[in-house]
Amino acid sequence: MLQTPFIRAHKDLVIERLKTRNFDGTEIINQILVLDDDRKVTQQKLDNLLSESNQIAKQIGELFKSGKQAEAVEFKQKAAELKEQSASLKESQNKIAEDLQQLLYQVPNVPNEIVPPGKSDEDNEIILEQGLIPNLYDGAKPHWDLAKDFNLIDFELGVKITGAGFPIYKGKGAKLQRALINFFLDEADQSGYEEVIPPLMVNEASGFGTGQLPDKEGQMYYMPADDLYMIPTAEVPITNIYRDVILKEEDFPIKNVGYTPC
Amino acid sequence: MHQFDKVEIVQIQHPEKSYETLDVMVEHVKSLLTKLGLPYRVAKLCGGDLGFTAALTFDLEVYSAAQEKWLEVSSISNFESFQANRLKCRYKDSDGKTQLVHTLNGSALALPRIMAALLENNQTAEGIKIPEALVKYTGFDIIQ
Repeated sequence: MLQTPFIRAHKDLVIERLKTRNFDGTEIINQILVLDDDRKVTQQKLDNLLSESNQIAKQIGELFKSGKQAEAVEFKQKAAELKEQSASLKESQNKIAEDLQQLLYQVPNVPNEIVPPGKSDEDNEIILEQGLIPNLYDGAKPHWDLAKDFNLIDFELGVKITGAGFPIYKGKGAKLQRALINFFLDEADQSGYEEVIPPLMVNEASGFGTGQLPDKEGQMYYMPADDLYMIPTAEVPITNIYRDVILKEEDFPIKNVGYTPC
Repeated sequence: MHQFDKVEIVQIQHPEKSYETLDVMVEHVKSLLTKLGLPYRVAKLCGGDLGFTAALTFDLEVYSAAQEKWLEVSSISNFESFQANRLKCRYKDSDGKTQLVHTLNGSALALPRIMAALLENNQTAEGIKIPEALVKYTGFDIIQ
């Protein structure tokens, strides 16, 4: 979520850069700034009311002390009116804050200046190509045939047990899979990443924290019985470790690695 | 695929250093692919392909020799303060002011396509050769 002061300070740049992701932000950015103005004006009114109320409370005390009962009662009535006004202002302030939040949720991140414009993966910029492309022997096959011939991955068995897209790794296939996981974890460990084994289900706050909610509502498996979501990637539980946390400068960089089936 | 295995790397970084860190993370993933002996390429994502929360993303793709196409195996992104703002993940700077951190993550790596590329690229008439870096983990150097 973008920060409103950032949007205010760099309005044109934000709108311009959002265009590289084909997002026309002109209208929503203007709405955000108008709401933010409303929020500030309402806050000012609330502050004024509060200081007026404080003033009156003081005066009431003094009036009672000096025996001016009638005037004190009058002031008390005024204080009650102010309280009512302030309650209704607070209500509209909450509404403004919520509307503002909803708008901010809809604005994607501002692309870095080096992001090329484009519509799809065909417009991605290839910046490096490395390694030798092997010349395969004549009998070479695609991996699904190899997986079957060597009894490494069973796609059909997965369909029986769960459904399409849930293969079963077997024998040397399972061992190779486990070898890869351990290799990747060890390599990260050697590069200074601390390993974590996170939960595979998260609550709503975590989904909002990393931005899967509300933008991709419906793209995570949801379990209504416990009001939990299955993670779409380890990014969600790992990054959420740092939700509502205040770090010290010397804590940087924080590096975590985690293996998850997701 | 509905379920797949993945190893993910995450970094929380000072805003001034996050782009340097993004490069370091890309280097890490490149080194994994080099050790596995897989030909790869690096793509800088265009605006239309960029995820909602990312400011800059590099994709790493391996070449599947039998399918003769490039397969995405890793996406490494800098989210700048976009996630941190929602997460309320902050740090105190040297003036004691609270600022938002930058968050980054990437797959290192997503397994199914690595498996596919390893099987295809390393197939020989004798069987499928296991890259040397993996042999100490598998305990075998060829699948026959």
